[in-house]
Amino acid sequence: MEKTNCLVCAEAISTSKEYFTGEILSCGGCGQEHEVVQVASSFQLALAPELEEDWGE
Amino acid sequence: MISSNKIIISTTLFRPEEIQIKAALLRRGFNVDVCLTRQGISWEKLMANLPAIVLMRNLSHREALNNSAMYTAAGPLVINSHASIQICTNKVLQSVELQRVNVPIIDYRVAFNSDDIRNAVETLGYPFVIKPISASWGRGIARILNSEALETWFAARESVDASEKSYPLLVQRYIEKSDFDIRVVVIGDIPVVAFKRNSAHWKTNTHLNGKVEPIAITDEFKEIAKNVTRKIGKGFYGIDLIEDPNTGKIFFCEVNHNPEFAKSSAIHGVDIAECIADYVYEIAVEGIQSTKSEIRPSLALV
Repeated sequence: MEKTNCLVCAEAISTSKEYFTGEILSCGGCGQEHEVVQVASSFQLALAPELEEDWGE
Repeated sequence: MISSNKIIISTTLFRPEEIQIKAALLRRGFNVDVCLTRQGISWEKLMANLPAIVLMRNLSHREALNNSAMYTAAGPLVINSHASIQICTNKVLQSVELQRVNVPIIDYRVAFNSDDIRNAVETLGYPFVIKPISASWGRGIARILNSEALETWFAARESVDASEKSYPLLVQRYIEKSDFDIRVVVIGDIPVVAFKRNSAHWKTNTHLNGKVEPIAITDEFKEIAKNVTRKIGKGFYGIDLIEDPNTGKIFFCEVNHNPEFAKSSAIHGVDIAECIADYVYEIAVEGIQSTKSEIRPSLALV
């Protein structure tokens, strides 16, 4: 399985074509949440957005 | 052109709930697209190949309201409906609409300014609860124990909102409750699971670490679910109830249009994503009539 790195602590994060764009992945090292922003040509992560005011049930 | 096999899941983030729903829909043979609003929606592409159904799972209330209005205008069946999302995202509208169909709502007042809150206290008494009209996960909700606490609340409020632009607010009688509230998950108009959310805090959202304990679905829960969905239309909802420990009376607290279920499902064992997929499948087969509500339709954007 291919890997990328946490954008905060550089811990390795497993990547897979099975993931969906927009899916949230947590770093096993520091817990930082990442959002999968690209799967197709290359696997890319971005820091997941912070809680926003009108989010919720 | 509407593709009868195509479903769009409209969402803000692709959380475990949406992942489970997508997988369950794929297992029933649907062609499923996920639309993440923040990544943009190609409207031209959408209109050229409209889905039969759009499943609204937006975490953002603003997105849920705007997107459900736009999808409804474009033609697909939208679940939950835009009308029901309007009600569910507005605590005052919930109280006003649902008291008309015998749902046991908590005695409330609507405060358009600080004087209205002072007037409400005269009849509701202390303690009472102040709630923003639209907020989630218990944010902004305050229990006011006495006049001193109320003056402190006013002072804090004035420092950030001197012109009272954040009104109206919902003012509710405080119901003394045990250390739990009750979440009833409704699909269509039928409760599929009920559970207590235990917490020592007076707010018991699982988001605030309320512990989940499955309980039986009573006739009373069924009746409340029937009356709520008769008013806002069938769909997928989380209805929150509280029980007065002194009288045993059940009160309706609120109905959520986008209930989370990943944490609680793992404990009560009811596969909510499968239930949703079954419901969507039934609708796709039966047609769109089953989601009609009594709410007057409004497609106004917010």
